[in-house]
Amino acid sequence: MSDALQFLISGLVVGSIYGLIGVGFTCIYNVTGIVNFAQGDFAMVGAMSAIAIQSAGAPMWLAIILAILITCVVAVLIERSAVQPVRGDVMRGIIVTIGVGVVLQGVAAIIWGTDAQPLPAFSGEKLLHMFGATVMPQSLWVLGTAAVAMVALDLLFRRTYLGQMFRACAMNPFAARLVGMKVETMSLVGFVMSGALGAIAGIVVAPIALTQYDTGLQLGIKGFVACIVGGFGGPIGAALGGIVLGVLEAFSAGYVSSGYKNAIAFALLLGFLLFRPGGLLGEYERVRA
Amino acid sequence: MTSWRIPALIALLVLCAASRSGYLVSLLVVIGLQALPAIGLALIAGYTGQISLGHAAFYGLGAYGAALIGKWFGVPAWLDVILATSLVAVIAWAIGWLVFRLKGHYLAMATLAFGIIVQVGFVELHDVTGGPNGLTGIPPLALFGYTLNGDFVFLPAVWVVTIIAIVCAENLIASPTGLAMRAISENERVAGSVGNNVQSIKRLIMMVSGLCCALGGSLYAHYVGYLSPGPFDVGFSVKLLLMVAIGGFADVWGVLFGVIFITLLGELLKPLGAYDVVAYGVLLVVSVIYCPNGLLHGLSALLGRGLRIVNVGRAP
Amino acid sequence: MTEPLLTVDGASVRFGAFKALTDVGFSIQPNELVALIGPNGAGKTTLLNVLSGEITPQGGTVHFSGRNITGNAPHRIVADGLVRTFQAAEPFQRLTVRENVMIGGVSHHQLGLLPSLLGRGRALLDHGVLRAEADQHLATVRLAELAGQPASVLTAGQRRLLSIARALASGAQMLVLDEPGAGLNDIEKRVLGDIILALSASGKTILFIDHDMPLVSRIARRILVLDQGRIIADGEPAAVRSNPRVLEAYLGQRGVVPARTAPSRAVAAKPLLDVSNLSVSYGGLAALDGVSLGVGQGEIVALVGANGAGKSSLLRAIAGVEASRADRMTFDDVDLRGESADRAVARGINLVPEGRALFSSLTVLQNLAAGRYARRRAEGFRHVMWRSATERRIFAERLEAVYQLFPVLKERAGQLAGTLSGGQQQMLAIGRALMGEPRLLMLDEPSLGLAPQVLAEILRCVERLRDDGLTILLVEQNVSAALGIADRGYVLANGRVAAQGSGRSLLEDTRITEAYLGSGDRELERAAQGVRAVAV
Repeated sequence: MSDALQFLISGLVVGSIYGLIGVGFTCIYNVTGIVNFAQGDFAMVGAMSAIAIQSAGAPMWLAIILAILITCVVAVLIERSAVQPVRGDVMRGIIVTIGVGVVLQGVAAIIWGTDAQPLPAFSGEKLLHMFGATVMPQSLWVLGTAAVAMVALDLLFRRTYLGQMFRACAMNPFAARLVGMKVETMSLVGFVMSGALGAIAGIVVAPIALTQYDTGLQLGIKGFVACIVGGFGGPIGAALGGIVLGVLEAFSAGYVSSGYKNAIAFALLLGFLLFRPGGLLGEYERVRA
Repeated sequence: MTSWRIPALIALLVLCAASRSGYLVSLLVVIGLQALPAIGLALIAGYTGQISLGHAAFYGLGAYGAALIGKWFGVPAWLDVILATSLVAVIAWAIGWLVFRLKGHYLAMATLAFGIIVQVGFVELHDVTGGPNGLTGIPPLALFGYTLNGDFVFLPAVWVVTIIAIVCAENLIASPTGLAMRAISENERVAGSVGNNVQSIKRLIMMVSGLCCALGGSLYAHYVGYLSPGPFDVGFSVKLLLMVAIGGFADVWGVLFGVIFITLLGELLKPLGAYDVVAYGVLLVVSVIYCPNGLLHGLSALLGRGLRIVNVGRAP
Repeated sequence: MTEPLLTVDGASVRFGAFKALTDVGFSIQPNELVALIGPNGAGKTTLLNVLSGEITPQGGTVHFSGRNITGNAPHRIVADGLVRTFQAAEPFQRLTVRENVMIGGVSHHQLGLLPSLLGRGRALLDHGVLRAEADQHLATVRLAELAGQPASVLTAGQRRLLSIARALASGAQMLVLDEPGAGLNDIEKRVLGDIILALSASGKTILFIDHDMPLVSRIARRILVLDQGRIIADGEPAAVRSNPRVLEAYLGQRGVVPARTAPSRAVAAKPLLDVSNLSVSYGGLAALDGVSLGVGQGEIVALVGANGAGKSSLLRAIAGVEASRADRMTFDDVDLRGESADRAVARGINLVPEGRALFSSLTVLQNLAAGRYARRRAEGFRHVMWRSATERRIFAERLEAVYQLFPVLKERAGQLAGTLSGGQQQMLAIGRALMGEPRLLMLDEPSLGLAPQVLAEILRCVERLRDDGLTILLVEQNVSAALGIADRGYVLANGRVAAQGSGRSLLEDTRITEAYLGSGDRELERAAQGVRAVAV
């Protein structure tokens, strides 16, 4: 029983990371129609920058803020240089963002080397014992950050003018032009949000999982699975999808074999793509309509 | 009009073999082996417009399939190549049946998922594939009592197969089915509206495409004699896509150029170690954005423009 | 009586709550040549999609040569002998003209995989039966000399002919053509008409959609009229043209809006919007061809004309959402040429497009707030993120004005826009445009899909807006209603201005009916001249 609880907790932690990455996908996809295959690499860039800045002697909070800013700048550069020229072309969009991901990985390897590196935990390493399960304090940070980020994003999308206009642009690009919106602007906004979310996810999970130059690929794909499972819509769907995926992975790693957990994630992806493309919440149709 | 190309290719191969350079010949073998899956991918992604990020899986299935069929049933190597290739062709058809209800990003992700699942299978099915330790002791290919051991004897074998594949691919493209493929890549709806069974054509091409990959993979297995899951990961699928992109997608000879270019580039970049991926990435991005018809076309267009500017400059 | 070739019985299609087709039934005999007409949004293309198998109707059946083909896949329906073309013609641009036609023949000259791989297919394409047939079909549509050219070089008219040849190559005995004449000039239309007649003479059964009544009258022996998803008339051209229901469907009920008692007002000397020689084309297809028009400060100008005349393109070009060329296009003496849509909105040019284009998952209030975007963005991006005190005040003022005009929007402020009724959505779309402090309000088909009473209400609001000093450019398919409230009107035909004059004079000219429903080329010409004479 305590095993199950342990798996559940680790599943929730990993799942909320997937969820954060997944929301990043939707921020870009809804406005540009491009699935950013370099999404997971934003997390890697965020984490690696934070590690580098922190180990250079900066306080943790400063390292985190700078790392998020760096990732946003990287996202903007990518949007301007690589995504803008191929907008609207699905196959080229896919290949270009794959290429961008490869470049990011290579550059990260050059700057930070190929060794996996840790970030110190935000508040100590002392294990907590709850209901017969052991929990790292950082896990609570992950869950808390994810929850705050999701709620904040949901509020942003629902309550703020910019958020509403961002959604409006995704809902009806033509109408958006008629009220004076430029898709280019909103695409940039999407990339900034997506970069920030990716960086946050990467940084907050860095003390638990070591980060290296190629961590992003797996994370990105898992984030996409979270999106598909949740339905390609807003933050809530992605969070839900991420949690379903994370918990399923944790249980299969615990009870079957850790090697198969990836296969299970992708079997889930295939299953949803083929038999329930709308995801659990079924927003896909509505968003693209 | 392209009839000079095959003799030229053969002449080039003979010339290289005559140089007695073991390094050159081993490069040519690798190029021949990778040209097969690259052409396979060009058929489905380039000509038919259906992206796949899982073609490394077909290559891997062909390799493991040939090795395992040979090991289990003790059949001669040439027979296990044929059996494995046919089996993978059937699998590819079935995968096509499954995934071609999807389009665009969803298709890309589904094929990616397929590729990763297969890769995980190679790693995890220890009892069958040997897991990460790999599968050893795969016998070399033997034909008519000759054992094709070593690069110099393997070279003609692999290039005979590759050239046959090139000819067949060109024939297919020049056939009515090839016309339908090009129509589907441009506008599926219109292609279907005049009576073409779009889904069935896509599945058929996926089958041919998987067949090419598996052929390359099973020859590869007998060439290296040792298999591990590493070479069949997503990275290889992306590399194949890069070769096809550099070749200009719908262009068999262009794709062959892409394979040669990427292989030589890989050799050039070897001193960079792991950093070579940056070059691949930049190349991929630049060629897709600026050379939609392939690097060769892009460069020649650039050259043409340069020449024109020079000429204009010279004009009084 | 022979067995009908095509029988549609009780076909109904719904998209969500919207009924695109309701209980449509008709049958077509072998070798008939039938035209399908109807106003915008009547469901014509949906009906075609049902016939060709792209849409499975929720109710009813389609029988073709004795077999039930309802819901069959498109390629099976082609194999049964019914083939269709598309409104946009859609040639395969990367293939040659001949290859385009051969695509149509591939399915019945199917070659197995093995022979294809072995090179047997090459002969079929290079000098085989497939090529011979393609050349024959190209000769039928008079494109033979272009066979080797890439399809991308074809003109709009040639593209349509190519799509007919491609359909012929499938060997089907029945052709269903979706607007083969749209965007063609008079000569091209004549050629098209001759070709369709020749195909009919050669034994093909043809059903075609077109808006050009002279063309339809010339070649069709029977006309089906679709309006709001129902067949409202079916018969010989002359009978259909004089059918009061058809007249009403096309020109709108007279007397929906009481004719204004006020005489036409004097037009300001200097127009607010001044357009000269404006052209718009979509991939070689000319939608607008040298249109000049002026809209004076504070007047309502109505644009009328048959479907495909270029009315929407004109509005979209002015709004900057459509690329255009013009000798002059000024708004309050500012050059609009090459200006992007967001700049045009910021200048006060607001378009309420056909079909409303609302943000359906935002609330009514949020949609109205979206109308402020251009104004806020023009102040700088931070004003999109935060509202200044001035912005708050202006927002409240504008909102109050919109609520006064459309009280129902206030009641429904918190409701999602997608859940409103059609009329309310139209009011919201107008309200959203008004939030942006427009100086020129352009309305595209505000009555589309609405009941007459709702239209009357909306038009009353339009008049009120004008009386408050707003300048309005109105496109409306209900011609009587539009001209009834307009100060001036322009009649567009085939992308050109066919006539212009004061609203009343155009309205009282009964011959405008003929500009819509036609009665042969010469009479159309005379009608146009008549209208022009009135305008002077």
